Amino acid sequence: MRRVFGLILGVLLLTTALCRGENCAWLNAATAAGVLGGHVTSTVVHTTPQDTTCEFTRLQGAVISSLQIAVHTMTAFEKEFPAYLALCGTTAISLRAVGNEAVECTRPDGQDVVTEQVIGRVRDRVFILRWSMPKSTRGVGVQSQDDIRETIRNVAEQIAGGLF
Amino acid sequence: MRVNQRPEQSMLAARLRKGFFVFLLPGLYIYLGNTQATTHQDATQQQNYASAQSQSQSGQKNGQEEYIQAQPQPKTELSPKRQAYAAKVRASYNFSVMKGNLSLPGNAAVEGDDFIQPGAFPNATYCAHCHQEAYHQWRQALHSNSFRTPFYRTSVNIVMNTKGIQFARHCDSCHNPIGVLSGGLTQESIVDRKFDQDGLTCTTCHSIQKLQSTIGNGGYVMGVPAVMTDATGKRIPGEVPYADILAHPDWHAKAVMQPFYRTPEFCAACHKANLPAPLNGYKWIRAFTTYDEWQSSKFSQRNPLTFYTASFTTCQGCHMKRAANLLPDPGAKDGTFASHRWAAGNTAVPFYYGFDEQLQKTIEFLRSGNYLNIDLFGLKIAGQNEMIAPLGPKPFKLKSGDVVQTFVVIQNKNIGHSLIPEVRDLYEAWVEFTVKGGVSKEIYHSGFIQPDGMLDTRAHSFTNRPVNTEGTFVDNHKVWTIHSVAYDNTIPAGRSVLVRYEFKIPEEVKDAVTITARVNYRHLRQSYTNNVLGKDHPDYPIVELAVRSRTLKIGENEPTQPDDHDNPDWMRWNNLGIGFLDQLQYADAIHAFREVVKLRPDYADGYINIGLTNIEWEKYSEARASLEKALSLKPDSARALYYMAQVERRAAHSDAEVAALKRVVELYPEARDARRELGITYYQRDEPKLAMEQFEALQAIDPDDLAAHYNLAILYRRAGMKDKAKRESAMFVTKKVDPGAPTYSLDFLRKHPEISTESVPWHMHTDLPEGGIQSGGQY
Repeated sequence: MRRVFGLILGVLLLTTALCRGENCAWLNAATAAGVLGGHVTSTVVHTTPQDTTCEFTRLQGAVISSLQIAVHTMTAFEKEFPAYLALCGTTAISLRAVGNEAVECTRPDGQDVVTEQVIGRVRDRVFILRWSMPKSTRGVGVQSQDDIRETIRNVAEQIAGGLF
Repeated sequence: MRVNQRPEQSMLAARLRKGFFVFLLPGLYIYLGNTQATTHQDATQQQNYASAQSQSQSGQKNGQEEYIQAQPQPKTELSPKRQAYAAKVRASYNFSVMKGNLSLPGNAAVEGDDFIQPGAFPNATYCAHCHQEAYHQWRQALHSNSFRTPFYRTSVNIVMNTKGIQFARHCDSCHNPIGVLSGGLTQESIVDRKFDQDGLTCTTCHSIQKLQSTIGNGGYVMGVPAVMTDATGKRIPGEVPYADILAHPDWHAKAVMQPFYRTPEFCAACHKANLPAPLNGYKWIRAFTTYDEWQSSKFSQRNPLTFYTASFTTCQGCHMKRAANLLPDPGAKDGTFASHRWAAGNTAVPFYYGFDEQLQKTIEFLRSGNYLNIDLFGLKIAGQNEMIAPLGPKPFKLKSGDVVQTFVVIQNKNIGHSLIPEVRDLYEAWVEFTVKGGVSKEIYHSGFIQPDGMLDTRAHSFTNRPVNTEGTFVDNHKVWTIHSVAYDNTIPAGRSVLVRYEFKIPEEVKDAVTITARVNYRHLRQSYTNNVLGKDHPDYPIVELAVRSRTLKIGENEPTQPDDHDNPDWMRWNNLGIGFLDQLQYADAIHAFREVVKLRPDYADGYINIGLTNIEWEKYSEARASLEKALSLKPDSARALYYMAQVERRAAHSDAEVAALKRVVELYPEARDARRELGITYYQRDEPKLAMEQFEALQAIDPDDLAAHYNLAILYRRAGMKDKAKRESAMFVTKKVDPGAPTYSLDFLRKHPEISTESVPWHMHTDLPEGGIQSGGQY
């Protein structure tokens, strides 16, 4: 599955056309800002004519947090989707009523960063939502683990909603 | 399996008639459904038509105002916070539908007539702190999920992706009012959409301050949300500490409750919808109007023309029934709480979300209330002229090899709206009819589910078929492409339909056959669910709403006792008569109604039914005799008087006509048909002021009444009230039926022979070999 994701990233790098000013089709910047807690910058990259990857980034001093949404159209979802699901591994929690199906998991992303991830499907389209934040900010302030899970679930639901 | 049509009926005539019948859409459809035989416009009016049309065209050129039904709200002083927010939204808001209008093509309005910050709406968890039962119920109900469900998102996404997000304001005026009024539905939205998941949250409904008549499409006026007033009654915007509410619960109630919340008109704000010209670029088309269906039903007690009577019951009376609350809720009274589940027909949404409690309550609701009655009324054996009816009290003989026609009468007995209501292109209810003989051997089966989950294409379904200009069924709920409706086989409140099935008893069946008719319901057609979720979804629930079986012995059949749910015999005949009447089988209808008065000679409505059938049949002297008999039994019967007025009109007894109609509106001030007819009568008598009064009163009841628009346009113009005349002309032109549109229906029906006869009032369901219906003859 890493190869698949690597391939997507490769395509991204090759075809990168940063469309500054273009809105993300799956989530607007204001909603992303609401999740990340303040002003965000965004990039939208078209990986295929119908698929895009959006990234919202919030810089707060040296602290960076981000929301990344990658959407990919599968040619045979029955075969391909399990590989995407494997990105979450065995710790995945099934999310009911997010798209056709979805899972959520937490994964370390390097030493200092932790990423909440939702992988879901709407018909033949997969979306991968990643919310990365420094470990130091996780669980701090108002955001408990439950809050984080609820928030990312709601974001995932919005993305799935846009894909229906 | 195939469906045959009665051979002697002219296919073209029937299609055209039915096409006309259904395309008139609910406002006028109900009018015709109440069996008025007259057209709205007399010859004089027709002459004036060209003039009215020309007026409205000039009105169109002068701007869109003529077509806007929503009431513009006065600009008032906004709080500094709201003022700043609104200015920011306005800077990038797409006003392309109409400059300055926040919600068009929807009708949502807000006090102050400017954008309101989404944070002004306290969210549901704030309310849940005290109202635990309400929150628990609401969270599973369709109102809280009005925006986020995939079934809705799929439709609204098509609007956004093909026409632009600004057109989604039409749908979201009801599905996501905060999204619309906060200015979120624009390309460069600056709105955090975290409220989407709560759809119609507590403080949307409970902040509505008034209604814009009953135009629908979000015909409410939202106030700035407040959960408290001060001692003077002034609303305090936003959240307040719970302690303050607990200290002054009366101030809380004053802020969040309005007397009109308990009225059907409140529900009408959204449970009534049209497709306006700014949305479809074509013309105003009625989408659905559950409110008007209720208003025309026996439960409103506002319509004298219903076949039966009932206690006054509002929408809330059925859909917000009080029940014991399980969780603490200060809104409960005497241990009961008005349901915030709004149990209705929404099974797909709780199924998708796994709200098992809501699903269970919904199914219980659908099966409760004695809403439908199924009557296996009679049989017609090929080669015999007489109908065996009614089944039960009448003995009869059957033999192997008989070709049998079964008369199934399905009565919409206690639903305050049609079966099925609202989005009839998505919802699905149908008759499943089976004949079994021997050891569970299936002899005939109509209305089965195919292996791919699709309904038997030839089933008798209570749905409609909206079509586009290609004559194609609008399968994806792309409502702005709808130009016509090929047929609409829903059962209006209080009416009955007759569904006919013909089958042959196999020679080898020697003991008995069992016939069973059931009405099944599925929230969404399989093809629509496939559109939404792809074909790999689980099977969505199919609910049996009602069922009736009878075993028919081969040989002698002795009389049998009725079941608990069976109607009395006089009502069975009456319902059959209604079915015949709606199938334009006037002689058969009169025969059935005569059986009613034989069984109940004191039943005035039986004679009225004979009278109205004769009016439909244009036999006015026969109608008069029956109506006179009815009035002798019940002198102040508004229903009899109304139809008698029709007879007096044909006889040119204008004074008698006026007297009868005046008495009807005295007894039923909100009788829309009587108001309309009285207006026409006054118009014909050249009493314009009186006519104007009636049409204005009619318009207050139904702001979309075509006759009111038309006649007021003329009356206003003659009275020198040019602006008002212009507006009414424009409204008439946009709302009147496009005479060319039914051709799209005919295209569709030509392409779909398997269901084209569903558009014909009289048709037969059978799988017997080609060669015509064998059990014809009388009836």
